[in-house]
Amino acid sequence: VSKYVEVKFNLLPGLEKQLDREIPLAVSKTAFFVELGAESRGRRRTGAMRAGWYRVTSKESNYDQAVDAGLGMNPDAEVVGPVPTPSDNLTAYVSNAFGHTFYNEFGTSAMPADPMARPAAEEQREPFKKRIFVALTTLGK
Amino acid sequence: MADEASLLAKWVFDTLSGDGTIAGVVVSRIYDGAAPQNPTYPYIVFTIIPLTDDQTLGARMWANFLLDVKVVSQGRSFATHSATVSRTDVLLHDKKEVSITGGKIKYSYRDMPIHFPEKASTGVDYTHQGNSFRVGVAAT
Repeated sequence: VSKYVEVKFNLLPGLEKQLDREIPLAVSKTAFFVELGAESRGRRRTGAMRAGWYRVTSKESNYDQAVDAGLGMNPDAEVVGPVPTPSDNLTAYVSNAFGHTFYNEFGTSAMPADPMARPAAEEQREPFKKRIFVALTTLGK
Repeated sequence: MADEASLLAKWVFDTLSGDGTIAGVVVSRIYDGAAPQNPTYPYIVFTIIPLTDDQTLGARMWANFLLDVKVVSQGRSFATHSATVSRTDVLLHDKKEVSITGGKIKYSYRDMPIHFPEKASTGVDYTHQGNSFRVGVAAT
């Protein structure tokens, strides 16, 4: 019986690189679809709120475009600052650049709630799991 | 044809309106979706947000919802109705397999609290406080 194991192939570094690429991609794709889902919901009066959805990952943000597009539709809309950039590539945020969006999501004394962000995120729960599953099951392929 | 959202609305309304502590504060002012114009404060408003159904082998098991339940009041004090909010949590959180007419509440548990002030364009202050629940409803 040999005391030694000779390594002929070491696929682990390649698999690690593949995971580092595919999992953040699944996170980023999911954020994109959450943003799209939120955009497709909600009331439309001036369109600023609908145009104001944006996503932030550790590598990209379309906050500025969302602000420009929203202000183009309603120059008086109250802009709120961007959410912080995530410190890792496994996190993404979807938010809205205009302050009145929060009150639409949860309602006010004069207006019923019209949730957009939460149903859009929930809609992506299963697709996100599938994206992660595909990334894991295609490792090394 | 199943209408789980209506079953849920009835369960929420019956549960809250049948509780002495809640009724002592909001009387019968419990609204599904929207309060009437010029309402009396405080009141409870709940919002049902449909999510994707749970299914198995093509058969529907139950419908999933997010349920926002909040107390809306005039003024700036959140402390005034804190006990009422806590009571709604006791009544709706951590429920499983609750039989209702026409179906069953499969589960209900709190997802997150809701807590924010509002200053209306008229200058009047309001408080919004409550909870968001995850609820599964099966129709029979």
